[in-house]
Amino acid sequence: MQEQPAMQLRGLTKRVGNKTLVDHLTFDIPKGEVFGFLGPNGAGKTTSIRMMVGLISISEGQVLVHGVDVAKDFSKAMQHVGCIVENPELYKYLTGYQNLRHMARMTPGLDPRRIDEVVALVGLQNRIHDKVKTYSLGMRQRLGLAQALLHEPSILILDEPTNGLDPAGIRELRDHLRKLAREQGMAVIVSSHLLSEMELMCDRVAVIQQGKLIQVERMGDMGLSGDGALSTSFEVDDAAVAERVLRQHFAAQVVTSGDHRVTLPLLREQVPEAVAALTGEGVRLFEVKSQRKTLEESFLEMTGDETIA
Amino acid sequence: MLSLFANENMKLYRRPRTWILIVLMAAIVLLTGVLMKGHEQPTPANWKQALISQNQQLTQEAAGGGRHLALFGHGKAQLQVQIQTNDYAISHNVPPQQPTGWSFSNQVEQEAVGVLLTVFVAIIAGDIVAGEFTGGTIKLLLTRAQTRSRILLSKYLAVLLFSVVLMAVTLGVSLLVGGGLFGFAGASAPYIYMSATGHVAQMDMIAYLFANYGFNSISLLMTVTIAFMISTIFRSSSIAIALSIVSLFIGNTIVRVLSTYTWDKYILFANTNLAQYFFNGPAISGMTLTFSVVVLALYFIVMNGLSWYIFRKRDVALT
Repeated sequence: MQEQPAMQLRGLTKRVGNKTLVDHLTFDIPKGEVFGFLGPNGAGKTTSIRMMVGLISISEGQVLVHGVDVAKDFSKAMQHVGCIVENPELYKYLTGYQNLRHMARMTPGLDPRRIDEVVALVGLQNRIHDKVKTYSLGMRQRLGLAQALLHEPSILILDEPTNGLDPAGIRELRDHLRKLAREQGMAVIVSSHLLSEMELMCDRVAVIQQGKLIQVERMGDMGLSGDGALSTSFEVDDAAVAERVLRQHFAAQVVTSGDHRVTLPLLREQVPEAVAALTGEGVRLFEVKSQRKTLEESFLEMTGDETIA
Repeated sequence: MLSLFANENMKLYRRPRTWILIVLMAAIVLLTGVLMKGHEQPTPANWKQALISQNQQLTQEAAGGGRHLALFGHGKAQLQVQIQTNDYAISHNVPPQQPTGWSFSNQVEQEAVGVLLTVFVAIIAGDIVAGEFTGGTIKLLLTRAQTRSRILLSKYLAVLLFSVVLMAVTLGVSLLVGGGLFGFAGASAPYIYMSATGHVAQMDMIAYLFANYGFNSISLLMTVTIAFMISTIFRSSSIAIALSIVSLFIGNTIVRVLSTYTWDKYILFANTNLAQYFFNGPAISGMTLTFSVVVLALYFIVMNGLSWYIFRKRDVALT
């Protein structure tokens, strides 16, 4: 099925002076997916996002929103886009509701009842008429999301959305974004420098480094070989020998960290085989660990996630 | 566009700061009135006699053409203004020092709050664009389906509305305070002055009051435009507020210092006071009302054009 992608980047480039911050990015962002921008700090993620939402000018190339060029017909393109760039920006001296009304007025023909809808959606009913300066960071994040969703965009762009959120907040945001993508077919674009976060949130990730696109990959393929593979690490007496042995037996990427630890993606059924191979070669094995749960999930089990009362 | 304007007004009037300025203005007018009332001199019983003898002296001087009069071309007319003002007081039996609600309003505007009005408006104008940058909220405004030109225009209009509101409050409160303390009589009393051509002329007090506000609003508009432009270009409220207020105070000094240069008259501040073409004559001879209006219009267009151009081209926080 050849459907038009929600957003298309075509050779997107930003130059400032003789520095190229973003270098010919070209890829499509399909509907109904959570799409991640992954890269270290300063890789050009935020710069790209700012170009995508028209905050900064485009040096070269195009950003198309449902086929509409952002640079040529900004208003028409932005009708489909909701975004939070860096922090949720709010007028602290206004109430949450007034902030939303402010946003609503910027969208021609928006039904005012939609405000109550998004308030309910982000669960802020009880505090919406309080001044924003009394809100916690989590509540500000929710209000920011409500602002971005107010005009029912088909593309949601969030720059570093998990910054400053506690694990419960991150989990909540993640569930929310996945729901938006699944149920409403929204294209959700998030940026982050944390792989672990992206793993959990995204369907597909574009890896960017020094302004250049390294690769666009489905999350399942990311660094791991095949479905169901778990990151398995072995604590051994000699990592160099272990690495050589494992390379002979498995086609996967083996990573050595320190003198005593090797890590590679393995299916559950492959683990005994690997152990046998290592001991067969005389490698002394102290520990085998398959990573199933991330640290933050364990943390979540302890703290639980609650809605704001 | 209207909804953007409504947004700007909501943001303006939901802030305590805006109301503090408005209330402060009213309070200063009230305080001035109370102080003036407190220091009112009792009218001497022989005030009429004193005026009559003063007039005789002045008439003599005018006829004789004393030495100090020769220095000023308009000196004679100025004497005439004083004589006629006295004559009016004598024939209508109103002591000249006795303030009325109308003369109070005029005095307050010219000597106390006229400058303050401009300062307060500069505070609002200097912050309205820069404040969005400082707070980061500019990103909200510029990522919606609205053009940057409309955003900027809605802000400019909101500042203009605030200027009108503040001016109306000042005028209204000064009339109420003045009328309450000194009475509402005297609206049609003549204000006698020397015209730009050096003749004695007069207009009703009430007309003079509105003329005052009218002329002041021209310079107010220019200060708003300066503050707004600096606010847009530098994205800093403090720079915008400081620079526009400084320009308000040293503008006239600059014009005087540079008076030996022929291009002095093209400086904005040489033209902001249009009252000079109606009262007392222009500060720099050879300037006309049309000239000043054209110069003001050009400054207005250039400054607003610059704000607009820069705001539209601005890359928002490239880090």
